[in-house]
Amino acid sequence: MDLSFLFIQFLNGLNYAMLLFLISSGLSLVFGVLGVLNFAHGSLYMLGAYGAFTFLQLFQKFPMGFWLALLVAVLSVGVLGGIIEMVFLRRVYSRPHAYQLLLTYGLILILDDLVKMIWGTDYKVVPKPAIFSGSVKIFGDAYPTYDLFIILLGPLIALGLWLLVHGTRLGMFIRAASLDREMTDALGINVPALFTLVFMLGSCLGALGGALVGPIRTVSPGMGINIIIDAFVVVIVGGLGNLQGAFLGSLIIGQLEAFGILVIPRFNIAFIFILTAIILIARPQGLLGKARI
Amino acid sequence: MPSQNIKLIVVVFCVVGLVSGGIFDGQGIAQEQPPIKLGGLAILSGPLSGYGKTGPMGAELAVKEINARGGILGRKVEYIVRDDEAKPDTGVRQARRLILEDKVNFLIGVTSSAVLLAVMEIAKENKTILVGTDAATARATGEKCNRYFFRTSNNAAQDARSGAFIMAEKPYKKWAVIAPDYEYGHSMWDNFIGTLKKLKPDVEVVAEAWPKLGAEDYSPYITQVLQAQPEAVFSALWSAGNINFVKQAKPHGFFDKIQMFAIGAGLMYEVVRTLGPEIPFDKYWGSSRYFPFAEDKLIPDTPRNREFIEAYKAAYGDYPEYISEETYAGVYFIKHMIEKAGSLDVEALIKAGEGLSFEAPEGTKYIQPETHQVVEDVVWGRLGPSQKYPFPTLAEYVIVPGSKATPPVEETGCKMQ
Repeated sequence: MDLSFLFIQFLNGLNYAMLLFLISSGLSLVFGVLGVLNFAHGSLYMLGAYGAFTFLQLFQKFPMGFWLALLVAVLSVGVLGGIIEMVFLRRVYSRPHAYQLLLTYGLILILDDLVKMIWGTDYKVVPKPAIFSGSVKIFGDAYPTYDLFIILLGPLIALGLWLLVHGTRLGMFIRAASLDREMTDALGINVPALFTLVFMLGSCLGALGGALVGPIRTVSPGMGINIIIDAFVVVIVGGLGNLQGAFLGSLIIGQLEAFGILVIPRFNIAFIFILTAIILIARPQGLLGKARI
Repeated sequence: MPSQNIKLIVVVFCVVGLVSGGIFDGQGIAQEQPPIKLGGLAILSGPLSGYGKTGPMGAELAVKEINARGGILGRKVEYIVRDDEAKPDTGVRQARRLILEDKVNFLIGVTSSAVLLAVMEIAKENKTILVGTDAATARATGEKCNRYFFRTSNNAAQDARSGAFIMAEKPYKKWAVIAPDYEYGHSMWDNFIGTLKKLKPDVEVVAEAWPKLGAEDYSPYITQVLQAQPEAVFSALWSAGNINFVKQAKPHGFFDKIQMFAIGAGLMYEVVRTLGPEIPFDKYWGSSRYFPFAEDKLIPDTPRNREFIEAYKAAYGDYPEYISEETYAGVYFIKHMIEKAGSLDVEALIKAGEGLSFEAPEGTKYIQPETHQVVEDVVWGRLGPSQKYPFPTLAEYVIVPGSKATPPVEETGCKMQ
């Protein structure tokens, strides 16, 4: 087993890890601040992909059309997230968790059917942006530049989020609201608006994951369901409620997917879920669960 | 007087109740013969639903045509389809519902091999004929065969054997496999490599990749297979799996040196249309259940085939997927079976089905009596860009006759009880 092969598999793992991070960070952020486990997060991811598809069809004549489409898709889903938060989620914050589960599950069903109605059920194709549509030679093997782009983008986004949360005033308010909602409210900070903003940010992150994944996977209704299970595994393992946990969990699961097939072929899926079970038993808050946002 | 009124009301209610009960029973007072009901099982939800729903579309077209021409034995045909979600327990539940609540006379369809094996038991339990039109596990007409199950589509053994015959002629010695890790994937590979090794003993398997069914990220498997440096890869991936694999493999330089042989559904309309020019035309051979589109003619070029495609296009505005044709043909098989038997008696129908031969759009289908498996030609081909169609068409193809592709009965392990 030569080094170049191991390195490429490592890159494959990183690529998947960064995609997982984009999605699970949104999930974790929303849970950490709002206390809501948003099942419909996968549907927002899916809408990001469909949005990118549709906007790309509009913008493909423009230079930077792909990036423009990406931006517009992500922002649109962010706005949709804001609407969902204000119209639906606000009503269930004070209620038991079961209401939130039911509501977000109901949203999945509605959004999935909406997607089928608007776009139909056949697979959509999103072409790669011209600048990342080739490959580079890494130790003699071809590796897609698009995948490298995602590997580099992930940490940049992670850094950006970290700076937002720890280096800005807004970030301070977000951290305060996640620690003690009532006290933050009592101090005069507009907590409802903050919650909407955080939910919009989480939606944007999920949608970004979906929009980026379009060129490398089929865009189809139900794509959200597959990814949300992986996202849940990530946040259970890494720790739910903070960004570091999402990042660590993504790295672990990403590499397990890449190397699992070599070390324990035929059982790698089981292994990931066994790991999840072990974490739930031995350290239920996840590896970095106790940490604050 | 009140008590007389009450008696009158009671009597009226009883009469109404008896009469309406009789009518809803479907017997007695009803003037028309009850319709012949077909219960369809298909994947109508989830990521595979885009492809799954094309099966019922084919069935509904067939039913419409048959009813327009007077039905079967003078009776109208009705088609009810239920979603099996590609899950065996859902399939079982829906099959029971179709038989016990909807009172269907036949079950038809089923895409997932796992669901098929489960639903076959329900068909047997309830003595209802099940016509399989997609799911390919060889075991269904092999060691798990049962007399209530007929399959009008090719099984994995036939597809795989036809592939092995073609591959034995080619110079590739180092093979790898990528197939979904479930019943269908293993059935395909085992049949293929078993036959190939007999025909060409110097063949060597250098890598095996078994992603789970529905996996979306194939990069680790692509890298794994590349590392072993095979000359050819046998793929049993289908639908989204096939599309994702090709899309992701290309920038890894997969097709620079490796020939891909996509069996079973390598040439399915949805894959060809979605990938389009991204298909590595020189390195991609696929087998098809039904992909009749060659550039200047259809395969086969028969009126039946042409009419089917035109009717499908007129009804749905798109070209038929392979399961559209298979389910369409499955409905016609039921029609021929009933007409030959002259009744809906299940034993008579089973006898009529065994050895039945009929013309489908894709050609002649003959039902092998010992196994209830269809015997028909298998088409393998390579694609090329098309001027005529909005998707690539067959640039080169080979037809393996059904008699060659079908294993001898003794080898199937089927002992029909």
